[in-house]
Amino acid sequence: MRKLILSRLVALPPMLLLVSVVVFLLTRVGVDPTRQMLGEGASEAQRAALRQQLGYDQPLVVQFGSWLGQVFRGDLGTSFFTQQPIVSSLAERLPVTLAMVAGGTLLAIAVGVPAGIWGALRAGSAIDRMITAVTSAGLAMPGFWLALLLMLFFAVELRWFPVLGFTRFADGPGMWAYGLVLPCVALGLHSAAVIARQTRGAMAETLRAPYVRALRAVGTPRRRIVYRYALRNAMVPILTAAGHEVVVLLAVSFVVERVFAIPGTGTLILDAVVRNDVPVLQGGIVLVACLVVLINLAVDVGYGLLDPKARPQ
Amino acid sequence: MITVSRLLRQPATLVCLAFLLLLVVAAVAAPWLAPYDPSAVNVTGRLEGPSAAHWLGTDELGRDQLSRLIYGTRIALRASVQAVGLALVLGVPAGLVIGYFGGWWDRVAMRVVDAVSSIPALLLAFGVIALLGRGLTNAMLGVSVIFAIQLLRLTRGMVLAERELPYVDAARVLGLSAPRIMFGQILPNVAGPLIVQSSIYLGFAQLFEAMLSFLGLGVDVGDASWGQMLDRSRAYVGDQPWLPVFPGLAIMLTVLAFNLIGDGLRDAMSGARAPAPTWKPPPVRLVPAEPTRALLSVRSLTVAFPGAATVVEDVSFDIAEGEVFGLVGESGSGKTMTALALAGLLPPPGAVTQGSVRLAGRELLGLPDHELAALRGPEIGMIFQDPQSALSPVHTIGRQLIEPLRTHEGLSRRAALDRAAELLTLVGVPDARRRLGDHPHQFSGGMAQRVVIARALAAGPRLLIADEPTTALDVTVQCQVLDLLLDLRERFGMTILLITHDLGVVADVCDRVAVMRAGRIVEQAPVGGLFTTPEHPYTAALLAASGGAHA
Amino acid sequence: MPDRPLLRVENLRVSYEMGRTLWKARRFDAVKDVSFTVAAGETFGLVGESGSGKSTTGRAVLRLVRPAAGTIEFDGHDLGAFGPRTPRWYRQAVQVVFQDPLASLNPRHLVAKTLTLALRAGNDGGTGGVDELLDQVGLARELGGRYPAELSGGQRQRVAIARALAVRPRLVICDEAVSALDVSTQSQIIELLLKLQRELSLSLLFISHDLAVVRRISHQVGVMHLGSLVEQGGAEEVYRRPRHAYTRMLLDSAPVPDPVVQRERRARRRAPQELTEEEA
Repeated sequence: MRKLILSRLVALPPMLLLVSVVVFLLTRVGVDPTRQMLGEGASEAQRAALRQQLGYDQPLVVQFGSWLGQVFRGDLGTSFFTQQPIVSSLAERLPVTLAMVAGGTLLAIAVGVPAGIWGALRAGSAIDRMITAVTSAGLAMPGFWLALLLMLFFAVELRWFPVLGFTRFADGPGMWAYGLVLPCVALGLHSAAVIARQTRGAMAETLRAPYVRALRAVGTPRRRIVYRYALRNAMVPILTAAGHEVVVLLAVSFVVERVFAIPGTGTLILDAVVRNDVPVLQGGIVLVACLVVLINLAVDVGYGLLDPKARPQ
Repeated sequence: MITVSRLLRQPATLVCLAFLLLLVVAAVAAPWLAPYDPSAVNVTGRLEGPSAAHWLGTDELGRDQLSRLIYGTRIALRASVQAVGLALVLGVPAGLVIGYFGGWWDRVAMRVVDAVSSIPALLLAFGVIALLGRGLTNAMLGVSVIFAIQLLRLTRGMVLAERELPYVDAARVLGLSAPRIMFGQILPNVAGPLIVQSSIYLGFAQLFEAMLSFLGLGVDVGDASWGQMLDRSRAYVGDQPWLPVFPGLAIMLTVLAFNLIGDGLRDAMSGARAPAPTWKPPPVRLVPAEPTRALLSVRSLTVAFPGAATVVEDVSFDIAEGEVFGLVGESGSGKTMTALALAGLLPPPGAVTQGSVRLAGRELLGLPDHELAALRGPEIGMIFQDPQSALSPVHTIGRQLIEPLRTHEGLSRRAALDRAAELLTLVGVPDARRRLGDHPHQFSGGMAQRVVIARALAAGPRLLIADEPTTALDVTVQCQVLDLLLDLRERFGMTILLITHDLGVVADVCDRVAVMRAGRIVEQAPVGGLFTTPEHPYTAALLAASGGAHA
Repeated sequence: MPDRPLLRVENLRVSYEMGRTLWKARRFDAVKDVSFTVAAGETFGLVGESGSGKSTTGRAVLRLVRPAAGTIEFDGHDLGAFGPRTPRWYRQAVQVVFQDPLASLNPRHLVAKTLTLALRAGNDGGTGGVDELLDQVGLARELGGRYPAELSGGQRQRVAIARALAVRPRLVICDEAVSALDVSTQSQIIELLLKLQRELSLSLLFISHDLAVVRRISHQVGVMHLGSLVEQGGAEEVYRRPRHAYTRMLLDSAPVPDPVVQRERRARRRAPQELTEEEA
């Protein structure tokens, strides 16, 4: 096990380097920030001066080198507009994003896995068909629309939840968590549909596997076959789906933030896109990409735990 | 073709196709269909609910919601088709080439693919917008890149599997050029899953379009897009709760239609799936049978698959205590189905329709599964052709070996593990103690079959059903496993029912033998007689084909 | 030279990549130092258990894998001198029939299309068509309009043989070509191969794990074990008087359909000692 984690960790730095190249190319090549910052009316001389000040006049490789050096030291630069250090604005906003993603994921697994197992065990029954219909609808439902409807119903109509007012963690952890319930539900239900579907498929598959018949042939009770053997074998595809969903939730949370007016990472990045605030956008994408790489690492380690063949010999 | 005709028999798929057709019509004929100009502002009729004049109500500027929804179809379809079309053009050929040639190209390309796909599609779209400016086409470009990369991955994975198949080797041996093999031979075989995935991506693209428009990064403010309608509705839901309902429904139904068509295509291409095992045996017509002294007595056993053929018909035989009885036949003769029927393990929807199976005088047919389960182990043991697939790949051997000991003998975990180690030693697995902690893939075929035999023997069955136990093994290993089986029979006084296609194996280990063909037993005889004076012409033909004549 | 062999394999070594670290690959020799010859119009049977390297040897002759060492000569031409692209004449001279008759035919192509592609690959002024090929392997002509999935195992294997014959090869490599078939179908296919060999004076490299089948069809036999050719010679010679211990064990292990013989063997095996272990 330690070998597996070690080998994955060794592969991490080259991966992160590659990711940073992609992000850099995506956000730097051919981008002229001076147009946004100085407005259309600025003279060419003013632009050139600003470009020089920002280091945009240097060859791309040099720009990349100095940017990477900064990133390596934990410095993502400062915003073109607010002049705030990007690391601190990201650090300020990340917790709420992570809380939403974690809440959504937990809900998705808690609802999706049992629903999937239930469907697979009663394959073809009315309950199974109903679960399948609900998951199909859930898969097609845009997460932010669900968020909008939840807000409309529970906050606007029933007034169980605050409509917009987001409470900062420092001002009251209880209210903070309360405000995140609806966003988490909106995020989680869509993913629950994905996970339920994957679980149902994987369980149906493993229940057909020859080793299930072989276990029955020695009189193993049904419950043990289902929960100890079939489920354990189905965990690998379920883990794949869950890992994928965490990444999806991360992205969708940016949209859901907008519904509930939560000042999270998404709002920061979106503002950067709108204002063409390159350093913030860069920093945001790098942060998200690193999170995704870490999630994938966790999933890989999970494979190793679940599947002996995925462990290095 | 078959796929299309299967597809047309799925009502859900037909409904979805009809819905998509409707969307296309709406997009093309929007100016004629829409009751109002989608951008006609009417300040006096703001935020109205559904009414006769405005079926779906009006928005904050008094614009007709239905008209905007109809015009929104144009953007929805265009964005989806553009994004997926571009992704197919970029991703599929690249995946084919990378997968087919492999090697360094593959390793480098896949690292880049990993790096790019660690940026979620939405953020990549953000990046492209920053790079090229706002607008739906630009935004969808980012989404398209991610789709392309996922299609590349999917294609590559399938090509890697496909290129190992002998038909590709045969094409290479015929001297076909690489492009002809890739596009002419492999592509048609991987096209199915790609079409399915494309259909699902069309739905995803729709979701992304809606999200990007919702974030204000998609269409211009003037244009009508479903996502943008939702965005506008945010501020006014308090005043007009209907506002977000219809655009959201439109998105959801469109995505649902694409998804269900994808599912339908997949089902149509893969054909009917085998159903999962049922634990409830269907009713059986028991055939009254006279008592015998045999350990196992089978009378008029008939197995059928509803709607398909009868695979075992009117099969009767007796096996005496301590005997090795062979059931021999070619593929499709019904020998394996007979064996599974005896143990109550027929794959659904196959079922015993009539007959009688008595073990030591007790009728087995019609018993509920939990009562049969109590007999499987201490009364009947069973081993299968492929030992690796008879073991769960993610559990240790020890864990799987103690199952019958815990179930039937109620041993504690520790005591069961001790017995399991003894059993492994007994069947000739060296270093048994340590190997209990190993997983199945760490065993060779012959050793895995020994493990499976040990598990089948753990609860001391009186009858062992061995279904092609050595077919997957090499001859030298086959010889050892057969020796082991006979050895164990002597030691425990077991009775063995051996299913095989190999007359050599029959000659080696059986006392008596029944020859099956097309679901029926054509001849039953002691081994000596069968080989010297076969009565049925089929037996004689089988013997001649096996080289029995000049052995 | 009149008695120059059609195929000469000398000191062949083939190695596979087992896994790789960042810098170097771990390799494993699937075939080590194998030498044999196949005479024109004759059958060389290559027999061995799984992992013995017999199929890899065939794939090296087909140029589907690159040898690590050794020479392969076909009709006096050294294959090592070919370069990355195999010349067309060689592709037409050497063909293959694989074990799995379903997987070796493209499932999306009609039988006729598969055969047309093969005919076109070998087209240098020949006259034969799809129908003639089907006749040659004993298949009804209307089967050309079917997909492989709609044929029986034996019929599929006949199509695979027809495809190999389309380019009028001189050597056909049969890689476990009858192993997936039922015994009665097996003997029909063997009869067909023997008939084609007589009519077209084909050479066959017949690779199989089945000792009885190899004996029926081969003039010369080679026995492979763990990558090496442990014994070779005339077929009857090898079967009647095996010299190598492994060959003897192989012959004793394969059960023959005769209870008397099997009983004797069992008695002999029992006599010295209990089970022997071949792996840990």
